[in-house]
Order: sequence, then C-alpha cells, then structure tokens
Amino acid sequence: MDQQARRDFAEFAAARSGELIRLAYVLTGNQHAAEDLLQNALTRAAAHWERIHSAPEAYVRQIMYREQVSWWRRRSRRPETTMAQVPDRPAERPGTSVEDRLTLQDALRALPARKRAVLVLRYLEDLPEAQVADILGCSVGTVRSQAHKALAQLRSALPSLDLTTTEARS
Amino acid sequence: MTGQDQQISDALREMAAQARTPRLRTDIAWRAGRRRRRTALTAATASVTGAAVAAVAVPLAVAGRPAPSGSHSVPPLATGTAGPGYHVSLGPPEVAQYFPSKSMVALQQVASVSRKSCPNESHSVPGNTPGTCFFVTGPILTAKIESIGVVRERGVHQGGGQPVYTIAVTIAPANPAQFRALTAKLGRIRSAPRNELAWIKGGVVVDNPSTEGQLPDSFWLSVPGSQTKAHLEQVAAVLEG
Repeated sequence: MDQQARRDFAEFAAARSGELIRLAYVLTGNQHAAEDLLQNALTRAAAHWERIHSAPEAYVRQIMYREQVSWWRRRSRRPETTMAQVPDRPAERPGTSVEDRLTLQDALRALPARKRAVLVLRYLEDLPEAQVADILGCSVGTVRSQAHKALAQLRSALPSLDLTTTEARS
Repeated sequence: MTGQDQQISDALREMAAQARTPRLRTDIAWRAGRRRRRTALTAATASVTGAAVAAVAVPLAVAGRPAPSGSHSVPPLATGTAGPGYHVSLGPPEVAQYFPSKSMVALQQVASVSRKSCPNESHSVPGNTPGTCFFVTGPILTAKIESIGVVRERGVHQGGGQPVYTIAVTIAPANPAQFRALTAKLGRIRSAPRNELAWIKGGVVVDNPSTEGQLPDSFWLSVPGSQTKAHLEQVAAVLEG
C-alpha cells in the first residue's frame, strides 16, 4: 500500500512540478526560494497523502500560498532596507514596451509576500475574493485591504499606471 | 478585464515563465513527509500520556558523556530532527527572563546525514532517532542555554484563528564571535544539510535547525507549519535537556 502511494506521489510530483514551480516562482521571486517552497509543500503533501491523494494539487497550492506568507512574516521581523536615494521611476505611461513590462515585474517582486499572493490569486489564477480569502486563511476584508495596498504600491512604483478600475473586482 | 488588469496578469505570467523546471527530490520529500507523519502521531500520543516530555528529556540530560558510536539508548524524539530542518530567525532577548535554564550544548556544522548507524570515527554523532547518524565538520562550539521556552506570537494567527507559537532561545556562547561567524557562514549556504547546526547534548544530536543568517545570542527557533503549543514545548524540553 505504501509503495503504491509512493509511486502515486512521485507521478503527481513529476507531472505537476512544472506548473507548480511557476507558481512558486511568482510567489517567491527567485528560483532557489521557489524550489525550497515547492519541496516543502510536497513534503507536507506526502505526510497527508492518504487524505489528499484524490486531489493533491489544490492542497499543495494552498500550502505554498500559506507557507510563503508565513515565511515572509517571520523574515519581516528584520529591519527594512534603507537606501541613500529614492530609485528612479519611469515618467512615461507604461505600455507594452519591454522596459515597462520589466518595471512592472520589478514592482511586483518588491511587494511583500502576502500582497503578492493576493495579486497572484486574483490576477493570475483569476479567483474571486472569497476564494482568495479561503486559500490564504484570512477574511475577505483582509484580502480587499491587501489588494488595495498592493495596487497602491504598484501605483507608487508606476505613477502612470491607472489601476483604479481593478480594485472593483470581486 | 481592463487593460491594467491585463498588464498585471501578463507581468505575472512572464515572471512565471522565468522559472526553471526543478530537479525535484521526490524521494526525499516522500521520506521526510512520512517521518513527519510518524513523529506527529507520536507527539499526539505523547501529549496524552503527559509524562512523555520528561521521558524524552531526562535521558538526554543525565547522559553526560558521548553515547557509544552506532547505538544509544535515547528514545526516539517525539518532535523532530526527522522532519524538514527548522528555520532559525532573529527574536527578542527580553523573553529570556521567563524561561531560566543553564544547561550546556555543543554546536557544530552538519556535513551530511546518514540513515545508518554511525561508524567508529570521531566526526560522526548519532541522532536521537535510532539508525540516524550525523557527520559534522568544523569547530565545535559550546554554549550555555540561558533560557528556552515557547512563546505566543502576538497578533499572529493561523487560518482558523488559532494562535501561532514559536520557540524563544537565549544562549551564552563560550566564544560569541565564533558563534556569530559560524551562523553567518551557515546563513550563506543554500543547501541542506550543510546549512544546519547540530545541537549536541549527551553525545547525541538533539536537533539540527537550518540557519537563515548570522545570529545574535538571542533568537527564535521557528518550526514551519502549523505546530501546536504542546508540540513546541516538547521540542523546547529536548533542547533544554
């Protein structure tokens, strides 16, 4: 029985690791942290395989979201980074140029983990607020406030990006 | 979807596409996961008996000298070296006063971990799970555990509204500069188990937390995942000896 479960687990990991590592990468912003996050999520999935083997991916995704937010919470006790000068910001309206896209990606990477997780769930996974709240284990109000702050932070990095309409999504 | 929504969505997709397919260690994940399950079950049983903490802690505290290589009488730890490494992060020194302790611990970098009994050589130390052997490297540091205890993280809750606990540790290294240098070195290493610090008491590795960066004398020992207070108290009891 255990051997069969082990094979099922290995098959699941092999089949879905490509998709899962992309999610982990978006959440963490770098390859090493993404691999650590995924490996840890798979370890926890293995521990509960009997219970989750019929739908393991949803479990692994939820673990990744929550672990990443919790990891950031632990790390965030460290002092913030200080800079001698405010970094340059683009003056032009972001369009579809490579520079604009990279600027937006940098701004997304700079978001704290919880805010980035909310945006990933809403804009990449296209989930409603209630489901985002369920996955992250918080209230809908928290999701709204985190999304609001995240968009404000993006707007701060990209002043010409008009994000007002996106906040009405639910 | 608005144009701005689309921009954010596209940017996230482009970020996702930058990920490289990992060489996943599914075997390791599976074994670690199953050990985690077994230790969790053991911990649940132990919390019912109530005396389990003492049963684990006492043999470690009174051992006093290195256990013979390859075998030791310490019962399996109900909490944890077998699971994924613990993450050590910075913490407040002020909690120290609440958890007085004065036991000694030896600290050394982990080089590798074997699932076999230790061979007769000086660089290996048995783990507290039977059949586990730690190969250690570098200088052996000694430290007095000034305090250790489980504290509730204020203002932080798990998904179901349950409180989150962590372990607060304060130690007095015999050589603080060497301790800071070693933890800084481990913090720069990305791969386990070489980023882990073996806590050796009574000739046994009682824990092997991974280290995220240079540590001062006071820090938190955070155990990933949803750990109960009783579980963490068992970990703290074993470390305290």
